[in-house]
Amino acid sequence: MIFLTSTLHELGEIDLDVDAEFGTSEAPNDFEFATSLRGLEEPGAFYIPGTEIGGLIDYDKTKSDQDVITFKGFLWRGLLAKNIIMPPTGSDYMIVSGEANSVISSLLNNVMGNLFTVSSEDSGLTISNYQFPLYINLLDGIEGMLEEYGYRLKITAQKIASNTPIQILVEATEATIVSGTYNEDNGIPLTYEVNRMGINHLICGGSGELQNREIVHLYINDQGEISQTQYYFGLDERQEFFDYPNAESTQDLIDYGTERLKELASYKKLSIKAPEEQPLEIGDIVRGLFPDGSVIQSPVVSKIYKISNGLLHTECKVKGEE
Amino acid sequence: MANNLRFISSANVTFNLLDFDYAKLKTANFHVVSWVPEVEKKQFGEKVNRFTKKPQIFECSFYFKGDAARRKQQIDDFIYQTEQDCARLSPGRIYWNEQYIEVYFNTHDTHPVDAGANWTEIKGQFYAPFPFWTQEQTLIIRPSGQSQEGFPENVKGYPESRSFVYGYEYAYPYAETAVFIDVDTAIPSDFKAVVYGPANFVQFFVSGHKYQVNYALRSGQYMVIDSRDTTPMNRKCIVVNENGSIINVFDYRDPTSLLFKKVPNGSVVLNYSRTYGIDFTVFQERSAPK
Repeated sequence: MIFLTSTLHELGEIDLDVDAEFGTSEAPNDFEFATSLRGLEEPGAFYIPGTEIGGLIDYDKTKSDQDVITFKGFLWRGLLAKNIIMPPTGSDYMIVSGEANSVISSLLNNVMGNLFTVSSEDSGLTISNYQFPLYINLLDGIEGMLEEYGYRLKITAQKIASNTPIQILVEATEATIVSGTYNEDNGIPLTYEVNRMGINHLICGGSGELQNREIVHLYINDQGEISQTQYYFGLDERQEFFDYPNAESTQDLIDYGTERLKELASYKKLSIKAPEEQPLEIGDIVRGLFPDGSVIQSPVVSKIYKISNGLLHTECKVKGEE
Repeated sequence: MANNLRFISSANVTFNLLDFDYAKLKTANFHVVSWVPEVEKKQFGEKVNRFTKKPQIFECSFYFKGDAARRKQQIDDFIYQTEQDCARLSPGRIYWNEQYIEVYFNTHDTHPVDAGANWTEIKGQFYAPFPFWTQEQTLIIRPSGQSQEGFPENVKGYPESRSFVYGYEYAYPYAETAVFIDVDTAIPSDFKAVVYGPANFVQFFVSGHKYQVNYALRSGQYMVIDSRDTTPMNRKCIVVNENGSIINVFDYRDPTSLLFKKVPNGSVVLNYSRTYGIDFTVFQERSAPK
């Protein structure tokens, strides 16, 4: 990794252990590392050339009895999450159209002292009347816009010329779709969960006492529909009691009971994890095909970089992955 | 076998470890080597991802001989110097012939002297944080046409204009701007290049890898490029002015140049324009001294 001055000129190269996690604005998008103070000029930023790993150092901690300084800060992607897209004056929403990189360029114009350089290449994507959610941050806004078209946001930091600041290049690029079929050795971890242990008859107890207590019976069928008509009988029936004495009305009791029965019912669940062996970037899509014909797909929302003892480890997470 | 075995403290005080007048080494395991595998557990055994090394410990014992007062003085000198190394966080060096390893003598115990004995034994250990023995090989190359001071200029088979220094066992020229270097190690080696101005910019190639800094050196200035981890970050690519002041010029590296890439092992080629002079040092690292 290379330390930079606060004006993004290169200071020097150093081997350090680094933890960095970036992704959508739900990811921390920050970094932390510690180093000895000896021979160190005060760095303002760091980066690994040709990668997205890098950011501004906004925090440092030293202890009087230790020859170590801890640095923290936001990654380039994290800095985008700290700026809000405002509707233009006289408009209710920010609505954009045009070539994707041109759109991104107009959004990033004058943001953070023009820290980011947007690619002048034609991305091949034309945005048409895209309306940003109100007061969304730049990161989620741009990622959401591109995701709608099957594209993703790519960030790369690199040195362009001697004795000049590094360039942090932002561009729209087509998302890679990685597909896998359940039960095939394709390196994509897919989980197909069938739970038949659920409740299918919920006895809901509302207001009142003893034999005067209001009781409603709710049933769920094999299509997941809830009604007051029994579907499962005998060996297949599973009952549970839902205690809701503060129900304000019969409908209130039915509404809450319905929600509860959905939680307790049997279910089929599909889940997917990011494959370890394949190089993925934030915004790439992982898609899984299941035995019943279902398809699940999820974008990569987080990527963790760990540099330890000179080795780089990466780990991706898709949306919904625990 | 070492016929020249020395310990030199960080204060540059030398102890001949083969001589009773200093600190005579009785035993030491300087050839102990340990590579540690980093593995992933598998159903059957493990998969080795790479090997690493931990700091090396060298167990050793010393004899100090002579009358009690003399022995006491010798031991005091040795212990004082090694403790100063620890206090200053500045290691001493053990030299095995031309190879050295940086160490701290961080653990020791003096055995009581038997009545009438004329020797004292110290048992202890050297701690080597970087577990490699280093041999420096420096190649001095002057601009084309300049004489190679201190070395014969006429080499059989090479015209005088190819006046590389040739008197090395590990390097020989094969063209006016290129020289072979034999890097006799199992792993890539660190290097230090000292480039003497004037030069419009600095560029040299080692086995095809480009090292380039787009900084114009004036006459009297020299540039140092040093790949070693032990060199402070802001001293790895510097220009030293005539008055001794230093400029960090890392920012002037060419964007296409990885400046601290180690020199590969085997027979490598150093070539450049020879319009300026270079002292090129390869730090050949081995696990055990040869």
